[in-house]
Amino acid sequence: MVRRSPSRSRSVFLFTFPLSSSFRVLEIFRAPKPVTSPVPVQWYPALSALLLVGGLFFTAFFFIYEATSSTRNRSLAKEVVIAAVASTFLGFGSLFLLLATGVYV
Amino acid sequence: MDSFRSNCCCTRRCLQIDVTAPITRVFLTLKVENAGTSEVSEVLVAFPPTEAEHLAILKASVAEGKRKKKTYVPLSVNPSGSPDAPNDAQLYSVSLRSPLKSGEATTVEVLYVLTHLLEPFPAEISQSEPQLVYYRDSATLLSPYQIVEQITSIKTPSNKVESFTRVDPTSRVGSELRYGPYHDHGPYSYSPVIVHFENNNPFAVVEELVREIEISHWGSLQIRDHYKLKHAGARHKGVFSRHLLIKLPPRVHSVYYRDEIGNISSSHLHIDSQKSELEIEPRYPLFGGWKATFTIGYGLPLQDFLFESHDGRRYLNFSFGCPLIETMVDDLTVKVILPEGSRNPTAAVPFPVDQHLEMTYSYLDVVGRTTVVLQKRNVVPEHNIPFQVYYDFNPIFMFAEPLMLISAVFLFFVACIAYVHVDLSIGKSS
Repeated sequence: MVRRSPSRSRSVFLFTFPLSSSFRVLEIFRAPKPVTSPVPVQWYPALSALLLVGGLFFTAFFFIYEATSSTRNRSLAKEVVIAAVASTFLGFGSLFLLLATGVYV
Repeated sequence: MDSFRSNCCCTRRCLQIDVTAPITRVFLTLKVENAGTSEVSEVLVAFPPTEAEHLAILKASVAEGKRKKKTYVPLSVNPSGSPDAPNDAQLYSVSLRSPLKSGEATTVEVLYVLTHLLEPFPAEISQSEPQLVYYRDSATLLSPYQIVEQITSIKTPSNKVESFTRVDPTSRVGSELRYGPYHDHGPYSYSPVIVHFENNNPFAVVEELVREIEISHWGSLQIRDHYKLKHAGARHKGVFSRHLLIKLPPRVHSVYYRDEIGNISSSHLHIDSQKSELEIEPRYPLFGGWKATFTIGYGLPLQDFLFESHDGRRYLNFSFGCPLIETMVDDLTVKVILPEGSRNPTAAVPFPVDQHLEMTYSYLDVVGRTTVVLQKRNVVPEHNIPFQVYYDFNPIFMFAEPLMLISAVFLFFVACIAYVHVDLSIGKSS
């Protein structure tokens, strides 16, 4: 008489969902759509390595530009653009690094 | 609704009580006949106040179909307040699928689980003595109806029964004690009996369990279970060093078992395609009355548990209850930590729980994560059924975390630019 609930959570959902919710008949027989990460999880380590290398490349570019230009030739617009690109790459790279090591932020 | 009480009568009642563990399971078969003139749409089940306190779960179902194709259809059960129940008896009403007409009969199967009903007597024993417990119940069912015929059978874990109250006719066969059949007992009749028997099964009780389920939309569900385990048998009785089994979903990763001192290495994990089993041993053997506190954590893939419903809301489908098999929990708290930026959280749980909202602060948080807290007392393995937590989430909020990191790095670059452009020399450069 005691019903054992099956271990697969997806199939159990269809039978034990409370009937008091506003669920139309047709929708009960359509499997629910699972939510996944926007980026496939297997790509995280490779993606983080790639983005961090790119970010460090642009950081190097930025500092070389600072070191080799004098006060007169320096263009603020160019500096800001290189800094923005470098920080985007480094920002995303560090996010994927955190995710790849298991710190799911 | 007073008229139906004299109209209905129970023609047969079979009760099977299983007292092999600290959890008492009672299977009740009620054959109800409508002896009155009006239709009856519910069946009442009564409990004495001492049993009602220990009631963990009450389920009812009705069998449909012929012998081979019998299916059990669950019925909804609600507490019903009947003010004229004698001596504070608690009543629960089982709603029938279709009203019972006059002269008709139906069979209702009721299962209820009681906790902490077995009292160790004597309360303190030496290590070599067997553990004896008291079980108190009634030989006749406490019911608002007149019962035409009833039988009660109590199943004990072994043949060793020290003593039991005799309410004729009583018979005992091996490990089964039978009271009945009794005929024509009026409503609310109660004949207390006490059974004193040997129960050497180790009593593992989780006093407090706090489960934290953290949802991260980047692909993982992180769960941390904080256990406070107690050996609830008679004091000084034997050693509880049996392996505890924890049932986990399949595709689990990064499982750890630690306590305040550090990692506990006495554990084994078996993973297969249908389920995972974690076998753990406490750090030290538990004697009667001893406690152990530990934490078990693991990660699960998001797509097995988080879904999107048709109206756009996301929901988590997870199983309530304790993953430790065949153990009861005195106080269970489930905290579902929703990602930052979630709005309108609601929880759909098949049985009554206490709910409230909290804020949790975790990695890269600005406003904090909304947490849905569900609390329940007296949780038994029958509560291991799925529940859902719904919330609204705009995917644009996922950019908040990388944007925070990008702006932090950009601030560093802006500082470099500012340093290069600012003239810090003291004298004028010629």
